[in-house]
Amino acid sequence: MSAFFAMDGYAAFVWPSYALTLLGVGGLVLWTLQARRAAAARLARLQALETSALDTGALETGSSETTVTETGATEIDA
Amino acid sequence: MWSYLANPERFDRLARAVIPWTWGVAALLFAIGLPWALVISPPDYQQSETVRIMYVHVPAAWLAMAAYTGLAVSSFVYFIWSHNLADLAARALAPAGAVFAFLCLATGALWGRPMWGAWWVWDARLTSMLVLFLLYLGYMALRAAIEDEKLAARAGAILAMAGVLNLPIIKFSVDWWNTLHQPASVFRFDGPTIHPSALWPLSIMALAFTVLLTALVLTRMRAMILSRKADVLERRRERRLELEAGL
Repeated sequence: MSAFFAMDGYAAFVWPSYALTLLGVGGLVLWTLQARRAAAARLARLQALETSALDTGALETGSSETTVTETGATEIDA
Repeated sequence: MWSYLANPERFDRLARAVIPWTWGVAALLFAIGLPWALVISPPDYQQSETVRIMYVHVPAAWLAMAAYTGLAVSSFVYFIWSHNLADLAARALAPAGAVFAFLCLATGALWGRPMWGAWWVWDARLTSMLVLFLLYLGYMALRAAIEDEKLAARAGAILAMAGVLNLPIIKFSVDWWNTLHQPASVFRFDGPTIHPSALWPLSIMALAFTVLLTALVLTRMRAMILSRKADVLERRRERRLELEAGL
């Protein structure tokens, strides 16, 4: 087992290579997943605001043109 | 196929179905490739255990170049047909490509020190790879520096397309100039010159990196589509609030 970690005296070169790769690739993965989660959460929050605005009838004061676009909004889905 | 996928809703549906699979397959390939690269494959008769650096160095190099090819192709598609999804793909590819290019350079230095006696030499292969890394950084900096999104996309596309000249230079640098770097030993006209005991783990690691890049890019593109939708809602909400305040 210790022979495996020693890498025939090249441990100082082999292991940092894999550590850097893990760090770089792992960082990319976490960053990407976090961006997806953040975007989904923000969209859900805005959609909830939109629905509550529709429920309270706040939008009905708008012109018929706005109503058309607002119905289009309900089609936007995560 | 392009016009089929150019519809964001259709792309979204397809991406949602494909993304979990790409993450799963990438994890599986790494679970096979890593122990094969680190334990099962034999040490090289000349390079001893340092040859294990190859299993991360070479896939990183290939994927840095493949990601750039993807960046240039999507930039071209965006430039000619103005398909927004192509621009999203370009934006998603750049940071991943930059990381792979950096990993190629860093692991190359860690391999060069014990085998060549130098962390770095200014020869054509290493320098052109450094140029690739700088192209990625330049592309991202350029896009970040321009406020107008359409203008940023077009300027980035031009830079990405111009930079494609660097790819054949990287590939053939080892044939055109004297270098410490070894010549191509996998993609050759007369077939690979690597022993199967090393070629197998190398191929699996390369495949793992490829599928992982696909997962990263598709997930990132979806994240960008979601935030674009959120931007639309946000603008609409601001307009509505202004309207209400005015009434």
